[in-house]
Amino acid sequence: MTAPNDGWERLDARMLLIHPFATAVKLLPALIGVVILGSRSTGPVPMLLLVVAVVLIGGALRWLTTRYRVGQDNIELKTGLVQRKLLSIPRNRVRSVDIEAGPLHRLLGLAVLKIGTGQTETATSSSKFELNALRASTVPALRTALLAHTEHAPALESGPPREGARAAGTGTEIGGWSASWVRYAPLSASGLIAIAAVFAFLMQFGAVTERLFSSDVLADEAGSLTIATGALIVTGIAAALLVASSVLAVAQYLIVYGAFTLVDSGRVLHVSHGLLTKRQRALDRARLRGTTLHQPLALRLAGGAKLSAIMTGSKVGDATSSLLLPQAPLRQAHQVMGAVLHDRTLVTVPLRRHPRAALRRRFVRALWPVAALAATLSILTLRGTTVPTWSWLLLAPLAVAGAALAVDRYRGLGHATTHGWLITSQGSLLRRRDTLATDGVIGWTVRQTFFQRRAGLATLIAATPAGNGAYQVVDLAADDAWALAQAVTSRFGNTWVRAAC
Amino acid sequence: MSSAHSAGAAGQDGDDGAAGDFAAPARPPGILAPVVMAEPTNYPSAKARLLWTIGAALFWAFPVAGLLVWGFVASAWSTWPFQAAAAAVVVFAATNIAVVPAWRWRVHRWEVGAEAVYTRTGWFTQERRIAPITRIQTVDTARGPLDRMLGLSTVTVTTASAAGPVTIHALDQAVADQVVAELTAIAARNKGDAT
Repeated sequence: MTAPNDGWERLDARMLLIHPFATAVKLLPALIGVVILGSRSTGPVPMLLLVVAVVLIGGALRWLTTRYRVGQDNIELKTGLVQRKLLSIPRNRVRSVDIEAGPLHRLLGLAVLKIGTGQTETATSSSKFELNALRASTVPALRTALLAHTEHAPALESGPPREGARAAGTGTEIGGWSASWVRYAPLSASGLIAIAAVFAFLMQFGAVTERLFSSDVLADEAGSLTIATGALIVTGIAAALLVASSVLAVAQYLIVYGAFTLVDSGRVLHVSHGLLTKRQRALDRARLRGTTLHQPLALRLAGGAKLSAIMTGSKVGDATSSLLLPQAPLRQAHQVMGAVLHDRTLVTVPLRRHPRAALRRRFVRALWPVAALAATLSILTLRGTTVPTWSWLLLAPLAVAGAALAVDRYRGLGHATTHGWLITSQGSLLRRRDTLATDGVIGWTVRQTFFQRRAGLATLIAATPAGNGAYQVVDLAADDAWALAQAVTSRFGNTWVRAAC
Repeated sequence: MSSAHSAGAAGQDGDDGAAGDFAAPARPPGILAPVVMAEPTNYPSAKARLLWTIGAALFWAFPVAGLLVWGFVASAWSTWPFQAAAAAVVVFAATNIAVVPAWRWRVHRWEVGAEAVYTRTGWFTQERRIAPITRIQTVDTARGPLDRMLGLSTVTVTTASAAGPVTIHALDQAVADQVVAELTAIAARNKGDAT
């Protein structure tokens, strides 16, 4: 180990203010517990003082024991008091440097630097390289230095480097974000998810739910419900949920994606957003393997879309780390997609429809639950059980909705391959169109269930080290699967295919 | 891939020159020459069926034991839940032990070609997996107790993708060793990090 202060630096001293605050927020539920429990025995004050002291000392120790060093070949982070830990990352392994600054950080002029090495496994907190926090003004320079080695990496995008735009920070704004896009926010599930999270949080306090569900009022009311009042209550709850989730979604959209910018500086795409917590990410074009256009049903009906990048070295399932455009008008999403991929024609490539057998499969999948329900009701009726009339009436709308879903899911299926790209589309409720660079495909799986074999269909799965790791072409004609795989990756050789004469 | 006339969408190309780099003639999307996929050439070990049968029998021994305990302890032989459960176990166990190994045997094939590792696996759901040799990252062999008893080995070839490895099941030990040696030798010759 090198001598102290041999290039080792501390985090910014202003973290002494932030750490205790952040810890306090994390401990909030426990603190509430302390106050409630404490009042029964010794009173809350001594306990609270103890907690405050522990938090303050903890923050100070954390600052004192954390040092980092940016060396010639490695970047190192030393943490821990009792269990000393040294995390060392070779600089040429640094694949992404993200900058994040919460409201408190911004108030104090600080920013968090997060270094990613492209681990695909879920990185545990112990292996995350995070400098929390540095003086905000020093961070951009450090990021540029850390990413300097990617400068000469061969870029996948074969477009010529845009002259005069090579230096980080300069470039053209291609996001074109507008606050009016917030109108698309209520059309995604984020509001509902937020409500579910709040509800789950409340559920943890058993007493609350116990009181809610065991209340005599509720039980009495439930007994004397008519269909009309029942429907009214359900409608009322649904409407309230809708309003609440819309408000939450709008607020969340503005807070998370407010002031969104996407700057194309040729080699790197700089993404920055957030009204309170400001996040900045640099997406290296050398790691770009394509884009995914997300069009969930409601968003699609309103003419909106979301765009994310398919990057190598981004964690699987980490959607926010590769976001290119939040909920936005489809037109704008298309424009950004064309600009990012350097090929506007990719946006409008007509997709090849999948065989009618695929439509049949969609119908079977959407309608068998309805059929099963109908069968159950019939059996119950035949055995003499009285089945409420509304359950029969429910079957018709369910069947119609199922059929509509099946048709839309079928219309969503499609694929195409053009000079260097594989394009695949699927889904209805979560429609997505993946545009994947064929260079990024490193393997194929052709999957056929028993039913797919009978229908002459197959699902082709392109394996790639980028994004999800696998991109599916669902239910295409089995014969097309081989042809598509061969067309996309002829460089794999042809030991496993022979052309039909 | 013989047909080549320009794609309809190319007409809208007003890009600032970046798209011009794709010099290859645009193929009409989706119109591909028909290709028939050859099956991988090699069978698993002749003892594979025995392995799968024993494996299935061992697996189903537990539910059967559970049923027997249930029957004896609760004297439930003539109750309908017991009989339904027993019927289900018997049907699934019989299928799994008597039918599935033979079915698997008809499906499982593997091949290590000059350019790619290629397998076909499964029975109800069948998968063909192809990994080009240049993209191989690790080659593992796994031998469970049953495998060791029968002198078999399973070779797993992983790539950088999270989409899952290519697995060659139930090879004779000697064949497996040969495959591993061959693959590691080829993989070692390749440069780059296979991503």
